[in-house]
Amino acid sequence: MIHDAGSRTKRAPVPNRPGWLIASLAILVTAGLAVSIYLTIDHYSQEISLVCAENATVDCAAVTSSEFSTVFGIPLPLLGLAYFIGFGALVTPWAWRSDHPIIRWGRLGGAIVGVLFVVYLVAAELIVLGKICLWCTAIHVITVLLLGLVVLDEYRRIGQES
Amino acid sequence: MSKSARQRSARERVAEERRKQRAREKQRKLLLGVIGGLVAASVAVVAVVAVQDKAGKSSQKAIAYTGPAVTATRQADGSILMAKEGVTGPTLEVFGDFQCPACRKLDERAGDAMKKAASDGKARVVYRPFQLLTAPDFPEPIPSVSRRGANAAFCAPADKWASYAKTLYAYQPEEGKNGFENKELLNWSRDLGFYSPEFDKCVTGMEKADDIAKATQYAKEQQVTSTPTLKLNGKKLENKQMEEIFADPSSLERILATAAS
Repeated sequence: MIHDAGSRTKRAPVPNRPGWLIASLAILVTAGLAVSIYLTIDHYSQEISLVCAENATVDCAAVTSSEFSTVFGIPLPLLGLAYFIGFGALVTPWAWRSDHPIIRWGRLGGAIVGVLFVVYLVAAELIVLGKICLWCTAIHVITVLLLGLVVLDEYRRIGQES
Repeated sequence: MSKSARQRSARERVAEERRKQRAREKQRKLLLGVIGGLVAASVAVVAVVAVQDKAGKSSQKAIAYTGPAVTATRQADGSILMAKEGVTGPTLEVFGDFQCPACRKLDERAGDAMKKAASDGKARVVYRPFQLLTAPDFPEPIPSVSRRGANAAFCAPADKWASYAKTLYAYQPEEGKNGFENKELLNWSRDLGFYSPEFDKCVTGMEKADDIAKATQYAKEQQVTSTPTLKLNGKKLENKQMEEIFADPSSLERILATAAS
């Protein structure tokens, strides 16, 4: 029996990815997008709190009015929205079909930048403000999970190269 | 299987093994690079945030009030009266808590307009600091910060009130963060040039606790349940009027005029 070495080395041009990976990324990006939209609407519809009331349930909007609610003058919810739209473009079926290095590195680089930004924001929340915003935390968790999945994908791709 | 075929498949196996090893090496590098890079960059980011936070705190100099000049006197109940001599009304009472962000906003927006009204003889302005944010409705350190701020404001001399109150609002701690520490409160008095051993004792010994309690009781009697509350001749300004003042501080004059007539 003679092996046909030629046919063995033929590989699909695009590494095959498990469906759950693609689906998880799509779900995470959609969730991130949804929370960002909610926070953006909230940001623009929220009137400046004119009073502090005599009970603790009414938050005096210390966090939303803090110096960390904008970066270079851009409100954070808007920045999050842009991030998830951009990341969403990188996990469309079209983007998955392409194995172009820019898209791959864009995914990895984008996820890393996102997580570093999360580190910055959480540090600001904990060190400076001493307050945690729940909806923002949801965004932070999603961003970290995105990086995990993107790294996993890249890890698998390298393994398949052999 | 021929000998050459066996040799070829052995070579292939070795080559395959090498490829796999190279791939594993790349995988290792990827993980190390991403995790190592993230950890290093995160440490740097956290350090920068912490250092900036510290630097910001230590450079907090008191801010002198530079708006319209007006005589301020301390009344028997501890409140501050700002009025031009001979002016008998209308009376604008300002109820505030130094830990309340909305009071800070009002002071930033309309603080000068109120003092201008007093200076122009359009009103007698009475500042009534009290403690709205009390335990157990608010978790520590909010009530303590509110208390220390109010106490120091009661201790400050009347003619320095405008500057000292402005400073307290300017450096109002984020809700839930500690602040208005004795050291800061005393440093601000030095910055504004009125530090004295009496003021020191008054601040560190919380000597105006009674005044705070009385002012808070008075606010309660006056049904002041939120801050900032403005009362014109004893009548609470409506939300609409408050919004007008926030939006355009000069509208205060018009509102005062309605009471005067």
